Amino acid sequence: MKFIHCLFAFLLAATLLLNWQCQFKPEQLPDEVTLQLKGVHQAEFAGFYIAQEKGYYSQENIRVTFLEGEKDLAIVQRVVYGPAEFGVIAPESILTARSQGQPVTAIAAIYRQSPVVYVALSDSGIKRPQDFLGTTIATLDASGSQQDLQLQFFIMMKRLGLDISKMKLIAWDPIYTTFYDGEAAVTSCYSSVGLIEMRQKGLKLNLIWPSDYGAYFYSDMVVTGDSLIKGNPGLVTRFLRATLRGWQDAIEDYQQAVPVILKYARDKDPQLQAAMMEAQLPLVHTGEDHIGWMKVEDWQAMYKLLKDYDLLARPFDVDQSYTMQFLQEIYGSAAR
Amino acid sequence: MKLRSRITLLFALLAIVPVIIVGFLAYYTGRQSIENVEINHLVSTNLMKSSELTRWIEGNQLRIEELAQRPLVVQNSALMATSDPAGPAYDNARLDLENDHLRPRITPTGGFIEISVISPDSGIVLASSDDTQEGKYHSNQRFYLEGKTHTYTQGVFYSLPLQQTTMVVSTPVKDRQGKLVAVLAGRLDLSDLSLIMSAQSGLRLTEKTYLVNKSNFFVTEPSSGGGYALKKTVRTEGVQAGLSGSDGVGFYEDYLKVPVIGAYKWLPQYNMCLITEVDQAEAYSRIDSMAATMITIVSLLALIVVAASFLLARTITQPLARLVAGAAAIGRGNLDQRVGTAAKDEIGELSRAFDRMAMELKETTVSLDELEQRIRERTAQLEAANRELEAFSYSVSHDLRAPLRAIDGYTRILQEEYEQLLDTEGKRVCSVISESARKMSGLIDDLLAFSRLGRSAINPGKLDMEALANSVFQDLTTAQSRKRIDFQVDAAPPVMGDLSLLRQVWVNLISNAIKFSSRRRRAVIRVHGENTEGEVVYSVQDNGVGFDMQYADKLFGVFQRLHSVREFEGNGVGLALVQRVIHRHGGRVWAEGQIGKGATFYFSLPRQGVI
Repeated sequence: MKFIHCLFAFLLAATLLLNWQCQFKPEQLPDEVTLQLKGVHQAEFAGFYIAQEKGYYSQENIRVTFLEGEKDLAIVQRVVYGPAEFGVIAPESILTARSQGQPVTAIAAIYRQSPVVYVALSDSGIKRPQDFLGTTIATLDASGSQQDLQLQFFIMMKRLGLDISKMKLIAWDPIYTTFYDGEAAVTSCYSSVGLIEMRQKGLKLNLIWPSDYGAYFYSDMVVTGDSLIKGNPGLVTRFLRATLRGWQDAIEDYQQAVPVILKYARDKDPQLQAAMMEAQLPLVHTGEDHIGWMKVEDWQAMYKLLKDYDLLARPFDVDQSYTMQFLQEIYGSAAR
Repeated sequence: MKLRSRITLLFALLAIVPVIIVGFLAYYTGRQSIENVEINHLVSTNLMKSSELTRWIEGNQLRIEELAQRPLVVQNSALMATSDPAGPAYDNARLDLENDHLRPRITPTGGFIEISVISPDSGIVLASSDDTQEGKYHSNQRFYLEGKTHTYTQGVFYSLPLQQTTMVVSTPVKDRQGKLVAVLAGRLDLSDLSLIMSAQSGLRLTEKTYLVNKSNFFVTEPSSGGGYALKKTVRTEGVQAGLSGSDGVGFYEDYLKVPVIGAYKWLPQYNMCLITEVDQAEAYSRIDSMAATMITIVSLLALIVVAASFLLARTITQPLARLVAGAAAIGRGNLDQRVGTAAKDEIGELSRAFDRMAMELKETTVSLDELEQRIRERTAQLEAANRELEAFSYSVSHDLRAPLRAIDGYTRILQEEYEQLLDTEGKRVCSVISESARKMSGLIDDLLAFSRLGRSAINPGKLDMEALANSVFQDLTTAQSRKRIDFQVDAAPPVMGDLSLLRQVWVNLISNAIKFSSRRRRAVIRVHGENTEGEVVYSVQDNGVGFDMQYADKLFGVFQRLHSVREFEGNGVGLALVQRVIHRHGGRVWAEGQIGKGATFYFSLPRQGVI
């Protein structure tokens, strides 16, 4: 009995000592990182906000600064050359940048379906891409930050063999003035943002989805520069792990995410943000695989689409555009 | 605690505790059996639902396979795959497919909501029961890719273009040579699935069955509705257990935080978990209502038992209380008190015995008042007798003196007048007569003094006993005699009393001391006095002849003597006189002595004075 008492006392003392040592371990300064978002603060980036607000980033010893997307902002350049370490960007932008030799790599797919949709008023009679002939379409993107709107349009048209010279293409208007004014019969938009605003205005719309016509793409990707992946893969893992936790929380109960979003969002309308949140659920969670997961065949298909329609500067190995290294590390290699 | 309360409590405990124990056991076993019934029901519901799900999916797979094997479907599909889309043959084949084969399969009563024929090369929809689907590409869709080789069911997923959750069954369409000519894909009506899941398998109102996918999202709406399918996650204990790949049951809180009994079943072929739950409140409602009934019965029983035991206790305690009251009354002297009970039990017997005792006590006991009265009467009688006796002895003494004087006188005459006539013997006789007459006279004097003492009034005053004793000693002795007497008065506290009477006491006691120590060469006489509780005790001690203590009680009797006259003169009235004086002052007298070693005579007087 005495021996057991001694052993117990020793274990207790050892535990206390270890605990004490842990508590007094010199604190490491958190890693400062910057995340360049694709657009203005809104529900689209809810998972990042939740990771920040719930302390998932600080638990990984990371201090994150969010930078809003702006018109004509070259996000890939900001990730590759600074000031951002991470960015949120469409896969089309990654592939085109990669084809130009930009060292940017996708580490996770937040939106695993593209929210890009082309809309026309119901009474316009425009129901399918073939009906676009002879109309004005607002879809051109000059900056490259909304390249997906433009590229998916081109892919769809080319795939259907429709001659874009028989349509009038004008610049995409983020506030849809050209569409509301009737200047454009068709406008591209995101189902998770613009479409909600239009429906809130009570518009009756016909939706033409590029994915129905062979333009199947991921959308919001988390990207980082190749140098960071090589130089500090641990930081990438920690950042992504916290981010995915944030996204997991966000979609598990999207209504609870709304108050967090409202702390950041420019538009403080809770109903709008909740609707956006609801609309992006199927994009983030498709019913298959883990959040953020990517598939080789999807990347190959996206690459093939861009390559087949001559939208890449030059061919390259598509596997350079993304890495499963971090997702596999977080979820396990066999995760699906 | 009173006996009545104790008896009531005891009976209540004896009655209620076993009922509670039996009730609890009944409740517990009832609950157990209900749990077993519920668990069996939930598990069999899960089995039934999963087999219904499988049958539904397999049935639809068979339907789509049957369609894919129809010769005209194969023929038209092959034609469309090979002919020019702009040509008439293509259009004819499409219309034929749509009108004759695809649209008739769409029924409003469930099954497929849309069936498409998809090109095996491009993934484009060639023909569809819904023409808005024509021209769409499914090239990257899993149901298309898998459907090229075998019949495939794509589990519930969210279709962005359709803006709803959906499920697709696909199968290859092959010509006689086995060449793939199309993929046939049918979109299933998920309301069928919801119906299968929501159909109640019993009478339980709160029972719900739903499917959850691997990512914890609801696949079908739970019965509460609310648009949960693929929009909300559920992470209850049951779901987590089911998603870990096991089948079983559990008690936990459901997604609405309601305690439920739940059965979970992992469906590996669909990568989903089937959950059937029923609210514990409903499951246990029968046993809970039984428990409520039991509590009511126990409460009523408790009330009845308490009332009955209270009454029973009263039948015991009431006679006892009467007994106590009777005892108290008798204690106060009321011997007429009777408990009086007709009860035939032990307490009744006790009461009757008590009454008998009181009766007998009354018969044998004289009341205190009566006793006192008798004492007073006796005392008065005794006092009267005493007075008569004193009067008698006084008159006798007084009357005796005259004849005595006559005897003495005549004897003197004989001696003086007839001296010559008397011989020697005659002279001696005369002198004896004369002497005896003188003695008798002395005796009569003493007797008179003694009886006078009994009648004279007491005049109390403060007396200096020390001075009194000294003065008496001085009076009784001469200067010559004082030389051989060591007389000493210690402290002798003053007291209230009659001066002449108490002086007589000192005279008698001190003279006795002198007398009985006269044979000592050196007589030692000590007078002492001290205050004790309530009285002052005085003593006169000498070193004389002493006395035998066995005669101590005789010392103070009239004419009682312990020594002969020859030894010490006296006629035995002195100490009797002392006793009478002290008694009249309300005090006591006693003596201690030993033959040859002296004697001590004590008397006490009340400190408050003469009573």
